[in-house]
Amino acid sequence: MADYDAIVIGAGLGGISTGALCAKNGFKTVILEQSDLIGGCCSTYERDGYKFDIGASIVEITQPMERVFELLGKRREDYIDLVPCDPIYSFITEDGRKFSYPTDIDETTKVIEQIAPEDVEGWKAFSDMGMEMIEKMMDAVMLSPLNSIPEALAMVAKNPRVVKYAPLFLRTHQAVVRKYYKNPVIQGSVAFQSYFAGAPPELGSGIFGFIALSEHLGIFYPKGGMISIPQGIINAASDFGLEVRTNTKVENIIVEGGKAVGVRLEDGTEMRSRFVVSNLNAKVTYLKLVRPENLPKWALKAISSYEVSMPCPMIYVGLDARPDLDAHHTVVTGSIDAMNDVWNNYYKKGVIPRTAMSLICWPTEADPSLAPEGHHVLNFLCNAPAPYAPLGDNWDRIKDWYREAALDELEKYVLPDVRDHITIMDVSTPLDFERRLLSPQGGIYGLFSDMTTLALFRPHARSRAIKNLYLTGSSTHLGGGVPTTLASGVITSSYILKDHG
Amino acid sequence: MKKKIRAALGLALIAGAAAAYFSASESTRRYIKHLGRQVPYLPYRYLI
Repeated sequence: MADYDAIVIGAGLGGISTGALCAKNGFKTVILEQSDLIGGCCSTYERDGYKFDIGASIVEITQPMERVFELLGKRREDYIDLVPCDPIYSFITEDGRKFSYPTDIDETTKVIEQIAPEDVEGWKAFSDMGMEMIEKMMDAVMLSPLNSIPEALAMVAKNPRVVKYAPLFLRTHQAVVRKYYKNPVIQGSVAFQSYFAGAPPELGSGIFGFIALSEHLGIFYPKGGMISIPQGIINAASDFGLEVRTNTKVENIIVEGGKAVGVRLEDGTEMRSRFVVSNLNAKVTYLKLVRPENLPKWALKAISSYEVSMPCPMIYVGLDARPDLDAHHTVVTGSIDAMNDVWNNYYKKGVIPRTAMSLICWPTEADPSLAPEGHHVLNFLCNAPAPYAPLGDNWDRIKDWYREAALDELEKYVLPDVRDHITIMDVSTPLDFERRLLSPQGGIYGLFSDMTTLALFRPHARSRAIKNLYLTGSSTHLGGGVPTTLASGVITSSYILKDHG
Repeated sequence: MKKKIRAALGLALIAGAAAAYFSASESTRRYIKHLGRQVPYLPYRYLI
């Protein structure tokens, strides 16, 4: 007899939203998390009175989160307090120019008019078309299962207007940006988001070109840190008996007769269930937990063909003074060519780039309670991929060197006196991310994302290789990010309800 | 005759594709190469 209906491996946002919705629908559900923290990349840890966000720094496109709460029959406001952040970004170019994009579209038009009058018409066309597309595609693509051709056809039949936007999936991010903008500074300000999906502008899908626009619907920071999002969902699902165990590592998924029937823990304990959900990277799920001997040859070939997403080291800093910043996010950006150059001539060659490209998150602007009174927190993300295996070296050995090199860049371009005010500092290298999140090579967005790894071609939420195995999170449709992994929970739970409800 | 026309058309197509490839920017060529490496796996990826 099964111990549980559902065993969910991993307490990232995908695992938690899937687990919560399973529990809501009457399945006896347990989530097993190997680390001591819930939330995966969307989490927060505390050290000496400072709270640092591990990875995710903001939530945009809140509809998937609202949908999770709606399906739970709860009000999101009762569990997660979202603080709007405006402006969206403050930009610093490599030659020292500064400007900000406010949330309001008309105000942004004025900013673009000052920097590049020739791009105002392009911006208007981009925002008119993009806002319509985001509205039309939100439910159709983000919250619908898209794992097979019949599902894709059903989605198109229900929402015929999405056909108009299909070419965007086939074009590259940079092609979409260059179609609308001529000025290299403006191009750079809407192209760097391709790295949010884990690909350079020349390889990323054109659909990611609209990430920049979706942020004009509003970006929000959850009070208490990013961990408040997974914690809020768990709290909302506690009425339904959802059980969450941290420090519980799964050794493998038990497969009998081609079916997932439970898990074996690191200490040898066996737990049986009607079905298993994995929130781990799909490569880890199939190759380490299911194991190759339980997979058909085609499945082995498929899962081995995916590249993991890029890693990105992060630096967490506590300060005894208010930093001289203008926004929750400050971006040091360059041209599209510079962004591609980092990928081709550094990352792919195993060389750590010395580039100004970076994202500085200032969460204490939205929530001062994250640091002792008068103090602040900065989470500094080198917004360029760094190789997992630097040529002839390893991250444990070069951690201190990297921290100092990154601080040099921060001082040079953003905060000249930052070293004088640092009270505490941590670094998370690709190796640290790999250990903490069980993410191969420290990849922060699951699998590499381009048109050949999206939707129908991304590992499916309902496995076809192993019966009663479901996947959720950044390895599945629609990839890495807060809204996308929450959406994956909605999609995966809809399959489970169909199969076992 | 038909065979010759078909062969000529085939050659023209290959020549056209090669010309387009070599006249494309470095960046576009990298994109095409990238797609060329990924496309053979699509049938497997569709199944998993």
